[in-house]
Amino acid sequence: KLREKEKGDWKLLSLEDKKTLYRASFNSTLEEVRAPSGDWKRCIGDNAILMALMFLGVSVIGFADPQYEPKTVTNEWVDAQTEYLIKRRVQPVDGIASWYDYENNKFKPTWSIFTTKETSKSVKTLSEKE
Amino acid sequence: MSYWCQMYFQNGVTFTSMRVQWAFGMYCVVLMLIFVFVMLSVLLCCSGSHQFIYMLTDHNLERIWGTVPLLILVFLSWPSMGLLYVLSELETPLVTVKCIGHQWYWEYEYTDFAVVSYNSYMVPEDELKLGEPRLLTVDKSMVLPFSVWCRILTTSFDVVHSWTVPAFGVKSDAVPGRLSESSVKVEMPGVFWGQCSEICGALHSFMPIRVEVVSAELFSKWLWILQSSVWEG
Repeated sequence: KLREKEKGDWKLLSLEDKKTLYRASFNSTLEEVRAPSGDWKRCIGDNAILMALMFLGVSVIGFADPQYEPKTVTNEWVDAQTEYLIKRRVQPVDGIASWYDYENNKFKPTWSIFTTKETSKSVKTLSEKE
Repeated sequence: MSYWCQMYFQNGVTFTSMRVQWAFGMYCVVLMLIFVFVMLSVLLCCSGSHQFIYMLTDHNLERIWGTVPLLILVFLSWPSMGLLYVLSELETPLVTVKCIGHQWYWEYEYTDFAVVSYNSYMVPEDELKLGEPRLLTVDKSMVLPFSVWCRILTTSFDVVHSWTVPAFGVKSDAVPGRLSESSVKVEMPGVFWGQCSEICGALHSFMPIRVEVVSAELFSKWLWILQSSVWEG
């Protein structure tokens, strides 16, 4: 009916008729196309739920079945291994041996995090023997 | 060997490995520049509400964005082509070592004076002494003299292995039935480690390589002792 009315004089169409005809022809206005949809909230929410499920799964599996830990990850072994590397001057250019002050038998100030009693003691013994 | 949380290469002790690492650094810089450029372009295109619809063809622009990547690629291939020939360079080697891969250990053969060979097995975790690196400690290491051209021939007794020492910049496939040659001139004495780099069975991760690089004098003494022990029976 509206289509027939449209074929006549447009001034006879009411505002509602015009809106209905516009919707039928063009579906949405330019402003409606540009308007933000808020879909990003759904995306972030879905991703957050999936990540939470993943973390839950990993923590359940991780705590339920503790993996075998080799003895070389203990602090004592790591300190001894640092001393092993320092003695053999491994990576002297910009690696671990370059961070060690061989004359004063301690790590250079920037790398003092690696300093342990064992490291200082044994390397000093080596230099005394030499 | 690497220290904990090491991200970059191990220090190169041969000139080839130093050149390779330099080339890698250069490629990273070029890559970062291109990445930043592309990201900025994408951000500029995405921001703003208007679209540029009036330009349909611009032959000059197309010439530019075809030629510039080509020039960048030529620039990138320059060090690579040089490295290709530098890596296979070998002056007269004074020492030849044959590294024979077995499942799952390495056999080192020195045949310069008399044929001497020995096997190098990984020390299991239970037998490690305090401080020794796990999965890298061996009972007998390979010995090389420093600042001397050495030829390393790799082959295998059974399946394909790969002899590698990152500090030397060497990765040489040990294929059964053929000899792969690599050349090494180590400029620094010390101890260097590597691991088998070609899947060869259940204990592929448990056949490390340890190379001790010593002075030529010490090397010749060691080789003499080794050969004497072979001659004595």
